Amino acid sequence: MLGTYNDEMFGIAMVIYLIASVFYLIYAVSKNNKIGTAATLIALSGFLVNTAAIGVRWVESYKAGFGYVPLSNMFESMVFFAWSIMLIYLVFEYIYGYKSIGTFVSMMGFLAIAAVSLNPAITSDLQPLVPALQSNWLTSHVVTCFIGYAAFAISFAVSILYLFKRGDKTDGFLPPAKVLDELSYKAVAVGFPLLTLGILTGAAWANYAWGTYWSWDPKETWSLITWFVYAAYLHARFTAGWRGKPLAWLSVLGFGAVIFTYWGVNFLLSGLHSYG
Amino acid sequence: VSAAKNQKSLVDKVYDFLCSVKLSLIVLIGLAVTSIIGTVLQQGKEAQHYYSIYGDTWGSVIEVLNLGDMYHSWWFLVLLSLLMVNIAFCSFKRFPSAWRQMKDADPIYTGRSVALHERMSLSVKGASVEDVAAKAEEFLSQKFGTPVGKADVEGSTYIMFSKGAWARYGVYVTHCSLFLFALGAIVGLLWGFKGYMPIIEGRTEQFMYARDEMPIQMQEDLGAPTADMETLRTAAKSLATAVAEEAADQGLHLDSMDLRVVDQNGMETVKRFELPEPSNTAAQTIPTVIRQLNAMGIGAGKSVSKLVLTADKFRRKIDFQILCENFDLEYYPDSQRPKDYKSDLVVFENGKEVERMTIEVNSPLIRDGIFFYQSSYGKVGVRSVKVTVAGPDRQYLQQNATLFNNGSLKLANGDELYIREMWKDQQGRLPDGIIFGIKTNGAPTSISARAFEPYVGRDWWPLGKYQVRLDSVDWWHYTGLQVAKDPGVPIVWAGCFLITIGLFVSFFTSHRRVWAKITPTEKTVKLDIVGNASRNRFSFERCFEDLCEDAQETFKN
Repeated sequence: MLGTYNDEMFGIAMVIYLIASVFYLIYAVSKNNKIGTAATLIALSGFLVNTAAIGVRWVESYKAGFGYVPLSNMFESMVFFAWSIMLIYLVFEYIYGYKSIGTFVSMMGFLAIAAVSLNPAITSDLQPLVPALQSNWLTSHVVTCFIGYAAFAISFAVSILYLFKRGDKTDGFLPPAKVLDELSYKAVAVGFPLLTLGILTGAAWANYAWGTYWSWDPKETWSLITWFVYAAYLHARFTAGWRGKPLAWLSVLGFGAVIFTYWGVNFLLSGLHSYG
Repeated sequence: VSAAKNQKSLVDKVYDFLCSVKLSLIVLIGLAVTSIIGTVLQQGKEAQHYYSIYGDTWGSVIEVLNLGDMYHSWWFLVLLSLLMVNIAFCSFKRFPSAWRQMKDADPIYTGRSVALHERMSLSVKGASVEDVAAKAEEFLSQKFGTPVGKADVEGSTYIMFSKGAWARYGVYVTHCSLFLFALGAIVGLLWGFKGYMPIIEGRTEQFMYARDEMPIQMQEDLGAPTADMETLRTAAKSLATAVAEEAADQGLHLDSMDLRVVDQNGMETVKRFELPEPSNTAAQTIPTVIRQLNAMGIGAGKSVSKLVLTADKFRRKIDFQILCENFDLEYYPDSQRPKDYKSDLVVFENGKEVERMTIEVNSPLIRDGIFFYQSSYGKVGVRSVKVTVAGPDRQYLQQNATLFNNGSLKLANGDELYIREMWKDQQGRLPDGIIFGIKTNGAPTSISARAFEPYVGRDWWPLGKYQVRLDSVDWWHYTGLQVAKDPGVPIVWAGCFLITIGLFVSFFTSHRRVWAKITPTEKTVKLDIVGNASRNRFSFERCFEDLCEDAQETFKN
């Protein structure tokens, strides 16, 4: 029914991310600047198609007569997650100029869309919002949470690369370990305030919808667990002066908590927060 | 003397531990790991539930550690408190040095412990120290404001700049906000309440079912076991009085209670009962309790050693009344997907209407700081239906005709169609519906038929020699309101505001100190510029690269 045309756009974005990932890989191996520029342009075009697809879906929801910001179910949140990952990555690439990380990140963007587009159990149909989701808090809550998650995904990617990297040579396949360590922290520094805002907007919304800003619902609790892990990460780095491997592992652990907050709670645990 | 030293060092050790980041990390990871339990283990069940699922060993672990309500258990609260104590001590210990760095205006950076993250130097030919100093001050001022200190020592000129010193407040503001969250939670716990208030359409309600209240338990040891009913009644009276007074003290009304009679052998008999109406005075409570005691009776040859009265279900009375005029349930067109739940509420104070509001999900009624949220609804009965009835020869006897709950519709031969009752499957396996009946000459017959709501306007249901089609149903609903009063919420919002500012300042701003030192050498003048940034060294590095270019530009001969 609705949204088949829209599905195709997400599919195109997905394929472009895969191609971008390959180009970034070739760049990382060859260090050919032309290929590097091409990789960036391909990733950017994928991001723009992704943006347009979300925009089209938004318009289509209004055409269907029950317009809403398309951030309300698993399909919509995953394509937005892919969008957020690419957004944060492209901003990081612009600021810091390291491209080889793009291999891993574009692959995550590809996987995020593939996981929902190719999974028959997850519907991409436009569905009008149930009463609980009809709130102005929805957009600010989902946007802050997911851009935060995306920043943590970048930190995770960089940390994994750090853990694979041996030595501190600049001429290798990847940026120097010190740079990876710094980038991983930078991403957490972006993600942590956003996750905090996500939790706060969620609490504000819960207070208006359920009459309590905190009820130790599994989703709330897991977002708090994630918050604790990244708070530990930041204090380990700033106050205890940790660097390198232990921090990289903490970032991996933190992203594990993010993933569980996002999927584990929905698929394995029950609670109030069963939309996405 | 040595004992005193050891003692002091122990205090120091404890103090150091409470200040340490090691403790922060242990507590943060500890909170993260233990919090998982409550998301996996179902919360808020009775102890027996856990014993029956997890067996005796794990059941007792769950009971002792209160894992069934772990977020309110003593050990979890200890962990949270430890985090707060750690933050307080840590901030207290670190603030003075942060303050010193904020106020630092000492232009002489050499020979003291300042980490110099960036440095550059260049030689200027054919200029005096004064010239170079003036020019350096000018171009550095553009980036870092007016100098905070200057000094001339042994022929060298030192100039210091300090920008964004307030960035160092960020972490303290963030930590402070956590105390506001804790304070808000405590205020809410002490002076707030939660409840549930179902109101039937067309009715007025002033009581809610209280939630999360501690049970009130009183007991009377009779000393020597006795079978004398008069003594027992006196004991029961004093128990009822004590429980009612305690409830009144907490602003609660009693709803349901357990009366427990323990005999001389320690055997217990329990009777659960409800008060005819919510009350919290001895005068209203005593008669019911005595009636229950009388009804329980004391068996022959038995005597009673103890009476226990436990109230565990309460109601709370609010200072105004709420009328639910109407409840509405709306679906999206051609779909079973609910679009909206709405209740038209009217508030009365002393019998006078003072407010009127239609509430829906995400849009509560707020009165006297009490929030009423649309949270559920249910069917109480049926108001009317529209039906089409066909006779034995398939001719329409009634078409899309309205049948009220107490009314009837004429069919043929003195037969009438009427509504017996609404149908509701207690197990929830079958959909809701209506049970129709037939009256002949005004007298009900045994003929009946059940018509299910999802098949309105479609299916025909045989009713004796007739066929009935249900065309639509107008249900009589109740609306379920969640009620909450939490005076801690504004404090929590203040915390939200502070943490947002605090985190932003912590992560995206930094305190930058820059020093310039101008030293004459034999042929040239040497300019050194060094810098320290409290955060974001990467962007400070870039800032310094720009600075180098500026300097080269400025002193290009």
